Amino acid sequence: MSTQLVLYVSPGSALSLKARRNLDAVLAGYDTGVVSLEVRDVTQDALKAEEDRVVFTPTLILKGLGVSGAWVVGDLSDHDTVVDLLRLGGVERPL
Amino acid sequence: MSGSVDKIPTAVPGLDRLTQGGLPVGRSVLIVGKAGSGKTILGLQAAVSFVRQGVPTIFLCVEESPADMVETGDALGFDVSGAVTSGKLRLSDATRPMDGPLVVSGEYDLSGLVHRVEALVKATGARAIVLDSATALFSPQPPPEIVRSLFFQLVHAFRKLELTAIILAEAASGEGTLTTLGVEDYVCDMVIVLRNIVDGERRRRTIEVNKYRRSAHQKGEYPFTITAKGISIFPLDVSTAPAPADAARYSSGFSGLDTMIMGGLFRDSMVIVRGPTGSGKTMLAGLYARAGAARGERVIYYGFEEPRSILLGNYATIGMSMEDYVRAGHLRVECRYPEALGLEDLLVNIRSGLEEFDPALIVLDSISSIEHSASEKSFRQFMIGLASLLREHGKGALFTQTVTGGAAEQTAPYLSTIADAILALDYNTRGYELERTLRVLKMRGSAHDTHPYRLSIQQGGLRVEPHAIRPGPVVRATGVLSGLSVLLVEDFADARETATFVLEQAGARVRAVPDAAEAMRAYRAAAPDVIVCDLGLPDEDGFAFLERVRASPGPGARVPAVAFTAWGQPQDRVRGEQAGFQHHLLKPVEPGTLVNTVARAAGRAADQAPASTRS
Repeated sequence: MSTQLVLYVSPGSALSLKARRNLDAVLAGYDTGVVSLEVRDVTQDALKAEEDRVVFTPTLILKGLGVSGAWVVGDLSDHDTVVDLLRLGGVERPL
Repeated sequence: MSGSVDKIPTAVPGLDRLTQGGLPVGRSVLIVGKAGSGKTILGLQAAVSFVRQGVPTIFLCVEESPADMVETGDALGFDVSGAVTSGKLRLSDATRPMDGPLVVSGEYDLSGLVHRVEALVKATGARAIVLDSATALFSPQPPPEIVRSLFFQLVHAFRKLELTAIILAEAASGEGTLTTLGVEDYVCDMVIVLRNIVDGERRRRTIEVNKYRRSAHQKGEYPFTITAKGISIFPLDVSTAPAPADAARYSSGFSGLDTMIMGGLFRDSMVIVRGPTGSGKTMLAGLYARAGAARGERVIYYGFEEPRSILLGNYATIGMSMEDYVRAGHLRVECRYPEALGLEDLLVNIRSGLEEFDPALIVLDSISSIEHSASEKSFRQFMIGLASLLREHGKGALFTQTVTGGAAEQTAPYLSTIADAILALDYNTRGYELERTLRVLKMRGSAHDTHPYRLSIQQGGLRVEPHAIRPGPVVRATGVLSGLSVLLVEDFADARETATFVLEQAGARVRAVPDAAEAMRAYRAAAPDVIVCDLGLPDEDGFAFLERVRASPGPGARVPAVAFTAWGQPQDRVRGEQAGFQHHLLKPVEPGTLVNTVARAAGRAADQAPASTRS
């Protein structure tokens, strides 16, 4: 089973687009199939955002870690925060 | 501009008076206070009240989980769980993940929360929202310009959704900004500040409406308290409180006093009875309470000086038992120690008493005990709070106040303002006798006798009489009464002495006695030429005494008699005539009037035309 990431974004938001780009860049360094990513639009998935207690966008959540998982808030311009998050989920970046 | 704002009441006791109607509909209200100042309780109380008014409300929980909020609210009797079950209150969880890390990487905005709120509004039809709290939402705190723009985004979203928003925020410690974030107040239409002040050894809470755009409001800090039922505010503003509108009078329970104030106290008026210890204040308070209960009204008597059993025992001992009235449910006697209770709690207590028991009258005996248990400032706030509470509920009240110096000089200005009537009791020693006086210092909206009256305390009540003799020229040795023997029956020592002096100066021989029993003995020993007799006497009254004289054998039975009294009602005059008095002299009288009336009673020509015999 792959490690699950959820990225909450808001439509038409420059910060969300930036987060999306940054996340894609980081994930490009990982083997496909190890990490699954779901991108949720807060306007479409407001009830899920409610469940996940999302306040800020963009918010990246690592699922499967306890109840609420681990969160990174922001446009993910610091790539290391994503690498650290995946490591927390047991996924190491291949050398 | 005021009045143009659409308002929604909060039903938080007192708050809607401070805000003159409630919170601005569709706008944001900031509630600022330190930890423990009651922000969350106020927010929750307002939210539940909105729900009760049929306004679906969202409560955004950032500081505590929804489960904790339900527990807090239910414990305060707000029935938060009921409101949630009804679907009208939606607790939305915006707490931080406690079980995993939260890392910040780059920039972000509040779109997530805004869209959640939009979805909730759509789902529930919410028209109000409470955010608890802005401070927790922005924690750790981003740079000021980011906080400003994010907060603005949020308030703007609430506004667009037409939500009446209550935003809670942590107060800053120092001067300068109002909140730790320092930005919220600029974008909110209304700001409420909650404070927690340590005053002496006591904690005092105050609330202030700091700003209310486009609306008038009561300015300044007002005390509030957090009770088992939530927040209760005392919007004490006596100046705006309407004075008692009812011109109907009722008996003070003390007929002599009713005479002094031309018929009785006004409905819903506040009376302060001042005087030194032992001057009869508690007795007067008891008469007031009993009279109300006897009329079938409800009365609450708050005693602060002794335990209930002792207070009731004391009243029973002086012939003023309260037991029947208590048993009949007309009188509630509550004794407590203000030190143990605290003044805010005492106010809350009195407020719930007013609401639950709905008394027509309340008695506080004494406000001095309250005064001594608190700082001057909190006592003042208490009294003003109490007064506005009584005005609001339209209740009559009597407060006793113990003073050590001259009773007339010591009324604090705000107390004088509060009181519709001020009565001063006092005493001094004269020879071996204690002389008591009662004086009406103030009686708003009514004529009253400004002279001190003699007061006597007796079993079952109090009695007053005006001074017997008015200042005036004494008829000296004109001989108009020479050779006449006069029996003077008068219980007040100074009245007895003055009248004796006046009659003797006119040539009379005076035998002066203080009560009916001695008068009867003196009469039997030697029948006088004229009897001058007070009607109110400690043993039997003047009517009964004269009836016995008239019924006695011998020519002395026809001795002329002058009633010398403060009883001036038509029925008193009729009874006087029936008992055998030929003349009725109403105190106070001028010396010449007394002499001339006695002369005419004795069948002698008056020395000069009496100025006004009132006989």
